Amino acid sequence: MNCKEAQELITALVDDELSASELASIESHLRECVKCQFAHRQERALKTAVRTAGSAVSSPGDLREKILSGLGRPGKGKALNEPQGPGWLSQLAFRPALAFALLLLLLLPVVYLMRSEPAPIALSALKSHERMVAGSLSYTREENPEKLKIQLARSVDGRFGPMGYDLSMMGLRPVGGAVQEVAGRKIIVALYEGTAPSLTCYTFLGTERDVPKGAALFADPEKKINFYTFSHQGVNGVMHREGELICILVSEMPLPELLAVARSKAQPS
Amino acid sequence: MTYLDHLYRMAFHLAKQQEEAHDMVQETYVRALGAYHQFTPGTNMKAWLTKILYNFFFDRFHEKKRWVLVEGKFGEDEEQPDYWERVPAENPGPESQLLLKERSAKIADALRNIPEEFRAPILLVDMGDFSYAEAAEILACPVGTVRSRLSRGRRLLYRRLKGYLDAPKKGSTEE
Repeated sequence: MNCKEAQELITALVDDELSASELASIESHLRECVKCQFAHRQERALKTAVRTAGSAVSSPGDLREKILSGLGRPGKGKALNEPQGPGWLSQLAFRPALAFALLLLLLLPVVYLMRSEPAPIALSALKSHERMVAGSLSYTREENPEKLKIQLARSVDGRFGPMGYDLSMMGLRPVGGAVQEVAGRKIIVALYEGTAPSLTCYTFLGTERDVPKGAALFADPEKKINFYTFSHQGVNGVMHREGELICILVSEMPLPELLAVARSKAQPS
Repeated sequence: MTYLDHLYRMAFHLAKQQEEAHDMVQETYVRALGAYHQFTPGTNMKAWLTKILYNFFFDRFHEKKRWVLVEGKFGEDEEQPDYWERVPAENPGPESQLLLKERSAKIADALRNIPEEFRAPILLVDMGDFSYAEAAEILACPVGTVRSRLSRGRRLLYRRLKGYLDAPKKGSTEE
């Protein structure tokens, strides 16, 4: 082995990335070559210096805030912030929600750890969502949002109505609804379909006692609303309370996105 | 925030301006959110986020060469075999008295002035503590390429820093 051939092996030796045979080979060369011994020490020193220089750089104090709250403001008009096309960037319409969802992304492992079996109504919602989307659960088709809202409210004698969320920004529109009864309680269900994964919105009279045991809590500091997330067999749910009403959004879309939707639409009591 | 310092460190040394580094990190978290379903819980989130950051850097800046400083002479110069001839046989002088901050700034400056293809492996392996395999995954290149570029990159970097970094004498420890 000559010194030029030894160059890469010295690099890998410094990084402890050599195979056994390569290690034997370079060690043999180093025993004989003073120049390469020096080059080895030199490269180790360089690596240490670069690592030390790296540790001297840390994120500015305002960057964290910029990431979390800056997403809620319009773009600065710079090339970096210009939308690149469809896909995830369409979510920028939900920028305030993105900031919150971002927190969820970072806390995702916690969410997974905390998943547990939902309570009866929540479990019923997750299961009926699958059946409605599959077409195995009958529901009234009505694509006019106002007519659907009136129709569903009448079905519960006007005691409450559906949330009536406008989800057109994410490519979803109401296509129908139904009223279900679980444990003697009426639940209004509105089905949204479109270009994004289908979503069902469950509305019923209740309290936070209806939150499934073990659901993960995400307290929204801006809206001062508690959101509870849970999952079952690939279907995700996000529950929150608006006054006397409990709303559960159910979809197979990723939990952070679903939470972002809930957070962007929820109204403080 | 998870890996914020690490991502900023990578962006800081890839970008030319601090504000560009801010945008890169910000964009990385937004992209991570959009693609979160592609992440498998329990796998290496640090590498996943770093790959997103590097892809953004590559897509938006590298191809357009808007602010990537490339000094084309490095390739030719680097191939010359006399690098090893110029390595002094002994520690050439007293230890540098530069303060750590100045030295770090000098290293950062030197890093910015070597071509990105050699700089990125150094950042990932030396600052990011990634293995060659992880760096290869992030850079979308073979492991052997990471090793060869790292080797060449360190020699380019050493030339930039000659006079600031003196290799220790035999038997001394650096870590």
